[in-house]
Amino acid sequence: MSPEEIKKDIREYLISSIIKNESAKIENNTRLISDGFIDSISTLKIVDHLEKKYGIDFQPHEVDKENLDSIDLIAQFVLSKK
Amino acid sequence: MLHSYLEKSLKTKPEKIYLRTGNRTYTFQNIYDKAREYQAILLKWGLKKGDRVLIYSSKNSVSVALMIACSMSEAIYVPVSSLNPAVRAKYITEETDSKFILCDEPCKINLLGTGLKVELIHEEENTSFFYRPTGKLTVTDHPLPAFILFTSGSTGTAKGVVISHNAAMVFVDWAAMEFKIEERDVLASIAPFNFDLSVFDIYVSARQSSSLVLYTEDETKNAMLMAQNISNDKITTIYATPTFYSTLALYGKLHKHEYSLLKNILFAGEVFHMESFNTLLEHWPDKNYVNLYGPTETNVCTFFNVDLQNMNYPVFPIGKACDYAASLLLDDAGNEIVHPNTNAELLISGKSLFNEYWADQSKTEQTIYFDKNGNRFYRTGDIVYKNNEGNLIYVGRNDRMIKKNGFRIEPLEIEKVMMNYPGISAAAITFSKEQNLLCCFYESPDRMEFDLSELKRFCQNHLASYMIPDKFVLLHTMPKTSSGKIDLQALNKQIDGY
Repeated sequence: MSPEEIKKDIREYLISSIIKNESAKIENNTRLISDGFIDSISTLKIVDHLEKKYGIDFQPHEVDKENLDSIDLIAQFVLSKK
Repeated sequence: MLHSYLEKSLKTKPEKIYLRTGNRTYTFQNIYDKAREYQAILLKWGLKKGDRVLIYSSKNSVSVALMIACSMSEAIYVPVSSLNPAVRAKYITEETDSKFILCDEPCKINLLGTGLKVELIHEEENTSFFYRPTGKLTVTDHPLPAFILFTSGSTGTAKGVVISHNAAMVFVDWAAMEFKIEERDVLASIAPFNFDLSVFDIYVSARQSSSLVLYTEDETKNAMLMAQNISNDKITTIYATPTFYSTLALYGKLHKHEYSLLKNILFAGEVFHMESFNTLLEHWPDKNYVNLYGPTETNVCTFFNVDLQNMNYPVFPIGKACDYAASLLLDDAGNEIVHPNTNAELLISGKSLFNEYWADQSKTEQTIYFDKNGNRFYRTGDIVYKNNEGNLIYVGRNDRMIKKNGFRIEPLEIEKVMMNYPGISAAAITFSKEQNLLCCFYESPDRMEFDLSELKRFCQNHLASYMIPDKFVLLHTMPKTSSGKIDLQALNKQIDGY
């Protein structure tokens, strides 16, 4: 999968399953955790989704803002794990 | 007094490890010495009996040592977790007229950013102690207050629940015996220090010469990390919210670790849904599960031991009163209900009751009820009934209070903040239990829908993180009841449509 496809998938998942607001403006660099778009349980849901969808395995310390704070960061992390 | 627990362990086990944080360990002697050192510093700056000492920090050993120092000095500590924005910490500082403030580095930067006038008096290990000139405030000193826990207030501002040494200790003594906590036990500090679950963590471990592992607010959010920590740290007893456990069972990857040392799983703060409980049970089938109940004003006052051989509960009862407490059920007309299976408000009396709400006598009086024998009861606002076995079953609230992820939230506190958002003319908060979703409906004169990120950022600066709405919905007009008030029931029904 290309980075763009991964970003598209993450955005769709965020909008449909986490933020549940079609009109929400979520850019690739929107700070999801820092700006309070997603809470800690939603963060874990996203991790669970990524693990299932891309067959990757998060280590405990990887469930972190550093890897999950924006769509850009998430896509980068998924690609590095594949 | 609370520090007597530490002194007892100091006499018998000075070199036993009391606290663990990250890679650091602290013996009972270490924490006692630190407490003495902090006491000396504060005394030099004029600490007196009854003074308030605010602790605005992530969990660390300095905070615990300072709590002990306060107990030694008959001062009152006020824990405010780092989950609170600085404006709330500032409000609580001013409301309690605190003379001293402890901050870790991030909290310090945020608090100083509010313009609060303080003087730096001591620094160590990324923590800072501040002095603040104070006025005179009177406080009920009988029984002697130990700490003030701030909870969401129904009048729209945070309210301080003043807890005495006696009240805290009657619970600690009971819990240490009831759960057979021993020196070899290792407790996990999951709850923030402004949550009364932490009273168990800090003082039961001190009393029993057990060890306590402090997990920071950031660590406890990460279920995968906590699943690993609980195993690696050889935790034997956990006291946390059902949300914590169900998140652990769903996302923690518990199957990757080994938990043979874990014995006690204590939970409180909200209803543990059976579906989530059963998921946890698949991983941890043989533990001692106990449902504890009690608002901050009473601490734990009823409990129920889960019988795993007999799991046909629709919900877990909150059980029967602890030996230091008594329950009373009153209906709307003020009649005592003794029959089983009749809903009524639960009132609690006993030694664990709070002294008062900080500086709010009328609020205190509203929640206190005296029975015909003159016993002092707290009106919990919780609706319960007694089942045929004599166990209490929680039904709901008699007011708008919300429980989300174990946190107590008064909608009015959020609504007041939202009404200060430029352009919002009316706001109403509702909660969907099914979706665990806090929703803010708002009206704006220009019928303008605000940007979600702006709204979230505004909330982050003004509300504790657990109070930030998950959704914001613009309404052209709020539905109203026949008496002209916002029709919350109609809004509740609407949530599911969004």
